[in-house]
Amino acid sequence: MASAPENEKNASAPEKKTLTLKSMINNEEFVVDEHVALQSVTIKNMVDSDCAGDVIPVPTISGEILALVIEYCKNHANPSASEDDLKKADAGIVAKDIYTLIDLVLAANFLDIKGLLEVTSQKIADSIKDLPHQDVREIFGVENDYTPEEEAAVRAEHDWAFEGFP
Amino acid sequence: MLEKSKKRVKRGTTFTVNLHEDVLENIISFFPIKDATRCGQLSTRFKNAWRFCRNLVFDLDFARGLTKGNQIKVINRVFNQHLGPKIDIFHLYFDPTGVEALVKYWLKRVTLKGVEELDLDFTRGDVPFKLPSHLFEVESIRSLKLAHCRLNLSTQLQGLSFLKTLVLRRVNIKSIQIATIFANCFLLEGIELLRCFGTLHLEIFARRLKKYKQLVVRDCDITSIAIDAPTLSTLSFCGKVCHFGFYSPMLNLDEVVLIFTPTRSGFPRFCLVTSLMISISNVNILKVSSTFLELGEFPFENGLYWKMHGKPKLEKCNPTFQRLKKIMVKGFKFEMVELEMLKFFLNQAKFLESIALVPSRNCRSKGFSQDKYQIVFRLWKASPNAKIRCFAKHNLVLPHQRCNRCGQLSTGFKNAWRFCRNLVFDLDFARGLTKENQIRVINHVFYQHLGPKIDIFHLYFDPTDVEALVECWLKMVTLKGVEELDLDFTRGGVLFKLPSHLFEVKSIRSLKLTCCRFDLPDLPTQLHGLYFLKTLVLKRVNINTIQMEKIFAYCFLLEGIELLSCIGTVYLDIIGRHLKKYKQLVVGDCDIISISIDNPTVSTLSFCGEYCHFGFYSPMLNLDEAVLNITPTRSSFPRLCLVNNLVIGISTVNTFKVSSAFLKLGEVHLENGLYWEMHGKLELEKCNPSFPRLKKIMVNGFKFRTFELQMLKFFLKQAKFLESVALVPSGCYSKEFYQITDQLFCLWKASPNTTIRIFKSIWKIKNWNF
Repeated sequence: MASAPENEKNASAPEKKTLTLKSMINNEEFVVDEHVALQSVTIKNMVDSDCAGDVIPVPTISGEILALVIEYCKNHANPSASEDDLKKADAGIVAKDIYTLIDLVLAANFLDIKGLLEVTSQKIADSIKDLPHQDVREIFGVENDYTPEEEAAVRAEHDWAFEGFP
Repeated sequence: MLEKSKKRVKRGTTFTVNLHEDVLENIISFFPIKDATRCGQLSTRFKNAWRFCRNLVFDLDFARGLTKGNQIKVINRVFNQHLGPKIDIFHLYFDPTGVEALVKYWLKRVTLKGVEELDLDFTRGDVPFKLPSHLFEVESIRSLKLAHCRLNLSTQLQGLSFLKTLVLRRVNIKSIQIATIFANCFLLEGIELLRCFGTLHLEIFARRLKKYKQLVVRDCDITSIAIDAPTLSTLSFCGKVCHFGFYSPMLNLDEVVLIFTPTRSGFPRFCLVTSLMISISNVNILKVSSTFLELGEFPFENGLYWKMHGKPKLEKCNPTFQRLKKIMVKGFKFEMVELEMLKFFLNQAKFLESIALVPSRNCRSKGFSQDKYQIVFRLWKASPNAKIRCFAKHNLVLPHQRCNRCGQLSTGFKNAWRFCRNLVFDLDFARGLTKENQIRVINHVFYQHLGPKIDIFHLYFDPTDVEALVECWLKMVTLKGVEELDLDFTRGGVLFKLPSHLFEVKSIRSLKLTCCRFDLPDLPTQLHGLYFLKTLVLKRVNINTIQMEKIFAYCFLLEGIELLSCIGTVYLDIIGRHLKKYKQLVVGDCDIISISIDNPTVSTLSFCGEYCHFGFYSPMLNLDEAVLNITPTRSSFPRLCLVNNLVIGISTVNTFKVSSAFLKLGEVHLENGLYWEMHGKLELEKCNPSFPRLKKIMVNGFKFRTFELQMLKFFLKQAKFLESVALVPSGCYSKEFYQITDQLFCLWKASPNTTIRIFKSIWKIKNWNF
């Protein structure tokens, strides 16, 4: 896979540039067209400011997640795709378990891909909306730092929202 | 789940934890405002997360618990403290009387934050709410739902260029306003008009809209609809009869629903219906009401007008319905004109797959049977695959638990379970719950049940100490016309005494009782209900001969009866010559010593238990399958003459399964079968039954004894058309032994096609198409 970009660079027309993204967690590499990768604002900034070499290292994102991100970018870089097709493709990408989704949302946040961030956040929101708060805290590693009095005060402030809520 | 999250927390440095929290705050902004507000409880970090909420839902659910003053207080605070740059969704269910200015201020706020989905319901207000004109200058709106509003659109719309769906309910809208919308909203995909007024002639001119797909009109006072939309795929109309005009070929039409409510005067004029029919000839699914099929009946009685004008015209235009796959007709009355129209559809639609007919109420109450029409329909249909079914009602017929779960579908289905017709509280239900909880759940279901009908009621329950409650439940289900009743009181200490009113219910079709006791009224010997009973299953029930007689005397439609571990009956009389549909008798492990059967229609006879005497008082010409699993006992092997009688009685059987005890007859009197040689054999050979239909024999527990072989030889010789014999030996025998017996059987058999196989266990036979 690593030798592919050089071959392509030599063979294809110069305006179709490719970039190589490398996951720093398990050292997997992905070769993508430049216009696909530039949907990520982070990568665009790196390319614009010329601090990107041949291989762009992506820290904290595993190859598995990076593959999903690239799939999303490829779908949305295709000018002939209709809106319905894109919706279906997005739904397919986010049909994962909650931990994969969190990794994905962190990746979207880091790479700054607005569409993916929204789609994934919406999906997570739908699936954790009805979970008890303790479960939400566990999933996201949040610690409850309220004193009981403070908690009661917060509850009293928004009493309308807690109606019928344990 | 727990372990994984712990690992996550450990791995995460403060940086990633913060990152997690940022992301979570972003996720919370997608929650509906109520859930987002509640998330303030997570930790101090999220105390103000709701201020970034993008999903402001103040719907009916929100309004329900609060006074108008409190609603205003909450909504005002949300708007005043909202910090997020964007609001995606704004739903409002509100009575704006007296505070119109406030509502306009809210609308201003959401439009400034780029709202995309707007759902405003002012149904509670006295007068329609006048929407501010700036609302129609907003570009961001994708979906707009308005109820009880007044809109003043200028002919040149400034905004709404990205509008995709428009739903108007109880809105005064004029033809010109609709024309304005179609002229300016190029991305419009669907429009719904529900109980709208102000428009008499609805014009859908959408030739320039590339994405327009859906038109729904329901209960509006519209008299004619003109459609010029070649991309339309769904057309749904419900209301008084109205004229349709199509100005472009409807090649993409996929589903058409036409529910015309009958009116006195205005049945559709025929020529218009014909044109409608041709226009929709490309449709895939067609749902109509019977009024639509009744066209032509209006001017003259008895469809004379139809015969004179309608029929030739329709046949002349000859639409092909190339893509029509499904037809549904509501309120079908099986009248001449309707049948003619249906025939027309059946004849024309070559690729039809299914037709669903929902008969009108009158038909059902008359006890109308659609069976005879099935044959007629079969003659008419042009497509070989078309299936025609009549549905009693098009309602939710899910089991009650799944119905309950359906409440999660959407708020519209929140109370769907209250109409559940299928109340199953069986072993599965009981397993997870204590008795108190079971009572609570069942009581809750019964108190809140609103549906007019309960079809099925299963109960697995311990009635000890709460007999009155169970009787109350039974009363409820019988009042709602229960058809299938399955009561299992196995868990109770004593047999549960069934209330006598249960036997006065006419609706019951199927009755299964376990661990019960009942008193059928003794005198006068008349049952007041159960006329339509088809199947009766009794398990561990104390039933005496007189009660059985009563059931056979009054349940004329009885098809089958099963007695499992029943007590109280010693002589079982199946006297059912007058029952035309009686087919099945199953007796398992009851202490019955003799069974007499006088019913020529019996086709399945299954007996399992100690030996008992059979008497047949009528020729059993329809007997198809006889299973006699007789468990061996010390004393009473069957007397030979009675067995002979039985063998002759069942000589027309098709499939025959017996245990080896049955073949051992005669062994009891003298050792070594001397008695059999002297009397039994002669007698059997004399009567010489022919078994003209016997195809399969199965013997369980075969021991290769002389008598058994003798009997088997007898069967093999007599049954000329025998196809297969399966033997399950009681012990293990060597291979050579099998080979010898195989050869022996080959010599005996009268039918050349008989195959004889020996199986190690009874379960393996299933694979051998037995």
